[in-house]
Amino acid sequence: MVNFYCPETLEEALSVRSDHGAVPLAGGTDLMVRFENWSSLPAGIPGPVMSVGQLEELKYIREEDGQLCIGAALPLNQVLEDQRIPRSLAAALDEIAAPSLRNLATLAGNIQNASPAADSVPPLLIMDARVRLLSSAGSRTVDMGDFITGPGKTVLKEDEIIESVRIPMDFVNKEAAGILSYRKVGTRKANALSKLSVCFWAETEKGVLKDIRLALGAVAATVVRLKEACARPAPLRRSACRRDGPSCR
Amino acid sequence: MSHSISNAVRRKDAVAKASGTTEYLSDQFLHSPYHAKCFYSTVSRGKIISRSLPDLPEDYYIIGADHVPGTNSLHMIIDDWPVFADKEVRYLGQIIYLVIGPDKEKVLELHSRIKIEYQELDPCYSLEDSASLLGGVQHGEDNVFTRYDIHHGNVEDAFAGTVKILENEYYTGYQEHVYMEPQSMFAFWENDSFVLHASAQCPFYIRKSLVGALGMEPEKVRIIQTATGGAFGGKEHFPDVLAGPLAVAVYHIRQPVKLVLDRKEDLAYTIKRHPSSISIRTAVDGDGTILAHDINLRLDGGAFASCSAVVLARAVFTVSNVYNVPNVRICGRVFCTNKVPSDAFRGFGAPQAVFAMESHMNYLAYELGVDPLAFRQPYLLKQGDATITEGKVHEKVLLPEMTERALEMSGYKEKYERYKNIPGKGIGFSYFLHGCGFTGNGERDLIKARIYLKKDEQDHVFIYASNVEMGQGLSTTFCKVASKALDIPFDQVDFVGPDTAIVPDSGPTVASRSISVVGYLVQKAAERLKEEWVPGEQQMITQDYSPPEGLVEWDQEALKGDAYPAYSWGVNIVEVEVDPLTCEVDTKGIWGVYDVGVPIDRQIVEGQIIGGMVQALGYSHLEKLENRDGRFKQATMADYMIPTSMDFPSTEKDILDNPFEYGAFGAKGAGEMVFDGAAPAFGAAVSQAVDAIIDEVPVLPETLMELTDEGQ
Amino acid sequence: MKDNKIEFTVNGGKKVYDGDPLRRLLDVLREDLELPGAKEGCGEGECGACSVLLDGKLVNSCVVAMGTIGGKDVLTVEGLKETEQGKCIIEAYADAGAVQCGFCTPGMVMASEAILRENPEPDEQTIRKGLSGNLCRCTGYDQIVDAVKLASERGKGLW
Ligand SMILES: Cc1cc2nc3c(=O)[nH]c(=O)nc-3n(C[C@H](O)[C@H](O)[C@H](O)COP(=O)(O)OP(=O)(O)OC[C@H]3O[C@@H](n4cnc5c(N)ncnc54)[C@H](O)[C@@H]3O)c2cc1C
Ligand code: FES
Ligand code: FES
Repeated sequence: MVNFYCPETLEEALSVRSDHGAVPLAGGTDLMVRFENWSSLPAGIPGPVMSVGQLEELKYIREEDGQLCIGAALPLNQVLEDQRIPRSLAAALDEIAAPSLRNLATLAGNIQNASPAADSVPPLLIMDARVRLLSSAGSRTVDMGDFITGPGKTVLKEDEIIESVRIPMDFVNKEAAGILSYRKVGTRKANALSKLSVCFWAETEKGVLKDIRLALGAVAATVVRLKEACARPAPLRRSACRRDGPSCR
Repeated sequence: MSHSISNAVRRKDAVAKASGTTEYLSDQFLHSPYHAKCFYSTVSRGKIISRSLPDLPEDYYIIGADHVPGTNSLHMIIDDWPVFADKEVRYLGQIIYLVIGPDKEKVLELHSRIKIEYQELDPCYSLEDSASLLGGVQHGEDNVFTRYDIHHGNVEDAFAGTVKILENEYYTGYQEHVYMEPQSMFAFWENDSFVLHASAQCPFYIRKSLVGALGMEPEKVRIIQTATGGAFGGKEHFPDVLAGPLAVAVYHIRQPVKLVLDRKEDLAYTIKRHPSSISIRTAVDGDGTILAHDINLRLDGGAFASCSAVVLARAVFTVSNVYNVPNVRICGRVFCTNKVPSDAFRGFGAPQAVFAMESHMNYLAYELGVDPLAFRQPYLLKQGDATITEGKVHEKVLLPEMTERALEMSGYKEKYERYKNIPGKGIGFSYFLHGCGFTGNGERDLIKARIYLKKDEQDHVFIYASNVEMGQGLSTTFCKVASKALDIPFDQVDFVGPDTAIVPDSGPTVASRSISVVGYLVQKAAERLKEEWVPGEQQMITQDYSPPEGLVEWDQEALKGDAYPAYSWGVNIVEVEVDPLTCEVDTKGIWGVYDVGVPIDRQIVEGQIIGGMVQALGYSHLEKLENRDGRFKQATMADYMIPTSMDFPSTEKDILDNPFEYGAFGAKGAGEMVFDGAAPAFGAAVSQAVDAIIDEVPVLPETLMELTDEGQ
Repeated sequence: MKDNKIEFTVNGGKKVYDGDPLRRLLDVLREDLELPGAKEGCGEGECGACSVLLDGKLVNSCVVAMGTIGGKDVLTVEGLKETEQGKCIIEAYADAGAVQCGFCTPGMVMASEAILRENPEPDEQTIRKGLSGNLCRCTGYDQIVDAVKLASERGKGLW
């Protein structure tokens, strides 16, 4: 039997993490499936495990320092239902798996899983979201673009946990004024992993698109944000957004 | 006309199932003293040159070919499938051992220490590999499991005088059953008998397959069907393949053992629908009239024969579909390859055949520049017409009425015209038929169905038959038939779950035969019981099969006569929209009109219609299953995509009455036919939307993208 | 801290679990508590046959580790069927013809309860979305959607 910890406070959790290197387990929708065993046998997660879903300190959404902060342990459905979160993120979360899974799965788990098809990542990238990491030694905040380094790889250290995902209020406030389009292509209409996802947002000024932001999921080893493609302001033509699928506007 | 028997009743099994109190195998045997794990071959074709097994602690066993007390083969239609692979393996996933013990963790550990060394041989992965005898012959002299040839009229003469020859080839892919309950069984030894509880369609098939392997009398082998969480053909013969090894194990250790496949094992190593490749050459005269079809129909049978011969027979007898064409030649073959065996799956060869012919009719209409629907009309079969096997269509054919109804429900004609000018939108049509019961003289000579009706002193009536309830509603419809014939309340009749020690062999639960063939026996028995009814007394009626009268005698050698006593008929219409950017296909409308004789329960038949339709639409474009080097690429249910509640709109349906004299209260089969028409209708709709010929299912966005790129 | 005793409630009754925290809730419900209403269809979060309500929310019990459910409340179909709401849904399933092989049905019934708790008068799209994590291979879903509508109509005031 592996050592299993169920800390009551964040502080405790951080010391378990640094003392034992325990793997955080949030919703378990990645870990329990990846280490699935013959039925009735425990999941084969190697090494000590620490549950984080019960940490009340990680279950919040609030504005702080000009950022909208989403606590790491909040299940996706709760994030989704919160009116304050950007609609681009809501659109993406709404198409992750199915309702039952979203009652378990977390945003932190989705980004730490670092799959090229992780659906929360494209919107988080275009809004310049940041990830706050905590350890007993202190905290640091990393740009979403730097957080994921490869398929299944992130900068998270052995003694760190994800505390929250932080979205600039600046974006939250202006999102509605821009043009937004999110589109996920899966094999079927629900409960499907992305074969391709596109998150697009741009401001318009006098018929010209400026500040164009575009990220693509499931097309490369990691989700990619196409900065070059968006570097120049583009005139807004009707055809440019003719077939943008279920627009979130 | 509507029959009172068609009025819906509440299914006998509904409340218990919805409440979670129905016990499926894993529920009935929640705890088991011993658990079994299969050890599978990891190569597609090879000789086993060495085996290294771990030392076994007490109470742990590794059971293999050496333990088989009888012959190391499972008797299905032929005997080629071994209980355990012995000297050679023929597909990746063939069972070599069963590892058994009380502690699952320990079983897994022992399992991981089994080492097999193979001398690999060149495997056949395609029909072409098989035909060219790559790596040496594996079955018979030509790797063909079964060949059926049909020649109706005179194809050579027809082609000789032809103005135009049009030819195309059609492909259909694999399909996995994904019954929601994986393969499950539990077995033990009792006195001097082997007892097996199994989630299965055909308890007597299992028994038949085991007696030789165990070297035991059939009476000493008892098979009991548990509530079955879906089957669709996947639990017709495949349970034999698991029951064989399990039986050998229990024979030796004399302890109760549970064998339940994980979903991943079930996806990877259980049987699939036959992939097909069907080419049709058609001779057309100057007026655009079809003179003859010359058809080459090939199925990929996988490594062992299983019931491929029967699937082939249905494909061959169905491929000319609902059309009366004077000259038809068919060469049908199932090839042996080194992949997981292909086997029964709802429709049993008919969906592949219907897809090919319906797509071909669209292709002909396209090439001839005529309307596809109008083009079909002159050929529709009518009562009294000859079939390609020189049998006869005995029943009244309602296709004209059904067509009219379907057109009216769907607005097909208007939409078809309109969508000619709207890229991305399309509507498609299909006709299909499905023969009821076993092919040819199977019912009379092979199955010889028998049922009992027993009445107890409380005047409660019990139906004893070997056909199983697997979701299709049989336990309800059988009781409806008996209660109606007896003129007693529905609640006064019950269906006894199949147990080979108790029920007579009324045959397998396949081929849409249960209601039309066995249900008819239930009706006849009930009519007799009614005549002989003595209140308060135990009574028993035995009813044996007797073939309908007036049929054209079947000759199995010549493949001539009535292949089926009657047919169910259908019309499907599907409307789609194809996304111009992603080529995703969105189904906008689904319509179906059917002739199933008389529906024994309208709600149940509607459930079959919708369920079959959605399963077939999955087959049409979602359920991609690719075999690469003998292994299925789609390893989990996240990769192999069956439809969800969001994928399709509601199915609009209608059922026309057309009573069949020799079916229970006029019933014909419904369970399989409802699968046959969706793929071609879907293909036709997509074809209009993208303005290209669709000759393959599943229709994938990737393929459509290539097609539209080519078009531009 | 490292405490392997897990207390939780199932269908209103207190339970204590002291086995491996990485066992799945599904296995403990079925094997230890002998509540086999939740089924294993896939074991990977795909099919919903194992659906239960955890603190009132629909979850796939095959991905829930026992170690994570301390203090939580589990409702299975065995508990739901004793309630007015549960009876209403089950009867609606039976009357709408929504049950075929039945293997998905207990999970579907749990999902239906979750849908109706959130929205007592759901429209077809809401129902289809709410059921999207519960796969059924038999019915093609239409009659299941009808059943949820029927339960909603008959059970006015229950949710
Ligand atoms: C059936 C199914 C369908 C799915 N469909 C989709 C889909 O459509 N789109 C999609 O993007 N994903 C999908 N997923 C993947 C999955 O649900 C998500 O990645 C989910 O968000 C993971 O969250 P979790 O809380 O369950 O993670 P867990 O499994 O608990 O953990 C995942 C990883 O994150 C780490 N972790 C969790 N919390 C923290 C923390 N606070 N600090 C540091 N590390 C942490 C864990 O150690 C682990 O490495 C699907 C999964 C399943 C089983
Ligand atoms: S068994 Fe849990 S989702 Fe399939
Ligand atoms: S009723 Fe069989 S899976 Fe739903």
